[in-house]
Amino acid sequence: MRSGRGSLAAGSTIDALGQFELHPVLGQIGEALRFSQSPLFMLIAVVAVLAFLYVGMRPAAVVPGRLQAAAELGYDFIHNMATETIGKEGTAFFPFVFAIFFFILAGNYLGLIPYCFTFTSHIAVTASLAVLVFLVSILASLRYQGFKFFAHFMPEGAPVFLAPLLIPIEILSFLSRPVSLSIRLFANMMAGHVLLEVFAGFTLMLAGLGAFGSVLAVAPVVINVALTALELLVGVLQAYVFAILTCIYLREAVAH
Amino acid sequence: MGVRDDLSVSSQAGKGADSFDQRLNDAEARMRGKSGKSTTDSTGKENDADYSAFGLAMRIGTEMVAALIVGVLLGYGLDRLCGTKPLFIILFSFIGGAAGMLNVWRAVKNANV
Repeated sequence: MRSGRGSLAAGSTIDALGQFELHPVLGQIGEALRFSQSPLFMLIAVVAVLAFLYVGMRPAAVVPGRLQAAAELGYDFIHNMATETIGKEGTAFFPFVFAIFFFILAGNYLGLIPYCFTFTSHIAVTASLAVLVFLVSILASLRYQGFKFFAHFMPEGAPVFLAPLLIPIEILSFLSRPVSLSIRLFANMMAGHVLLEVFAGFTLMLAGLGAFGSVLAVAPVVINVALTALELLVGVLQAYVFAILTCIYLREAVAH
Repeated sequence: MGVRDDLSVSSQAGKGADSFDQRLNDAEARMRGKSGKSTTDSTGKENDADYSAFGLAMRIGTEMVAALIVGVLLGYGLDRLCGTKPLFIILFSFIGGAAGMLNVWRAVKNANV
C-alpha cells in the first residue's frame, strides 16, 4: 500500500515550476521576435488598464455608474497616496506611481485567470520595475537636493569617528531598496502560484487512488479556493506596498 | 462666427473655472477655519503608519534579507576585484546584516501597531 502510493506519487510528480517557463507565442511571428507570454501579458495588462480608465470614464456622469465609480476610486486612491505621502510635489510623481500600481495590479490579477501568465512572478520583470523606481528616486534626489543628497549617508549628530562604520551601513541600506522591492513582489507572486499548482497536483494524485481518493481529493480543492481568495488579497497588497514604497522613496528624495 | 462662438464659450468657461476655483478656495478656507487645522497637517512623517499592518509585515521580512544579499554580493565582488578572498565578504556580510536591521527599524519606527 505504502510503496504503491509512493510509486504513484513518483510517477506523476508535481511540476510546480513549469508554469513559469517562457515559450514563444503567436506562432511564426512570435518565434521570429522571441515574443513570449510575459511581454504578451504585459501588453494585455496595459491595454486592460487603459480600457478600464477609458471605458470607465467615458460616461463622465455626475452620478457615476459602477465602472466609473471604480475608475474614480482608483484614481483618487493613488492621488491621495501620492500627495499625502510625498507632499506637494506628489502631483508631479502621481502619473508614475499610478502607472506602477496599476501595471502590477493588472499583472497580479491577470495571473489568477486560468491559462494566463503571471509576469510579476519573474524577478527579471520586478527587478526592472524596482531599478526604474530606484533610478527615478536618485534623479529626483539630485534634482531637488543637488549634492546635499550625499550628506544623507552620514546620519546627523553621529560622532565622526563612527563614520567608517555608519556610512557603509547607510549605503548598503540605500542599495538594498531595489533588491527588497523586487524580491518581495516576485517571491510573493511565485510562492502563491506554486502553492496553487501543488494543491491542484494533490487533487489529481488523490483522484487517481480510486473512490476513497476521489472523496479525499475534495480537500485540496477547498484549500485552492481559499488560496485563490488569499491571492486576490496578496495581489492588491503587493501592488499597494510597491506603490507606497515608491512614494516613500520619492518623499525622501524631494524632502529638503 | 464659429470662432467668435468658441471664443465666447472659452472665455466664459475660463471665467467659470476662475470663479469655481475661487469658491473652492473660499470653501476650503472656511472649512479650515471651522475645524481649526490646516490641510498641510496631513503631510508628514506619521503618514508612514497609513498602510495596513499586513503590508508592513510583508515588508520587514524582505527588508532584512535584501540588505544581507546586497552586502554579501558586494563583498564577493570586492574580493574578486582585489583578490583578498575572504576579507570583504566577511566584513560586508556583517555590515549587510546591520543595514538590514536598520531597514527594519526604519520600517517599524513610524508604524503604530
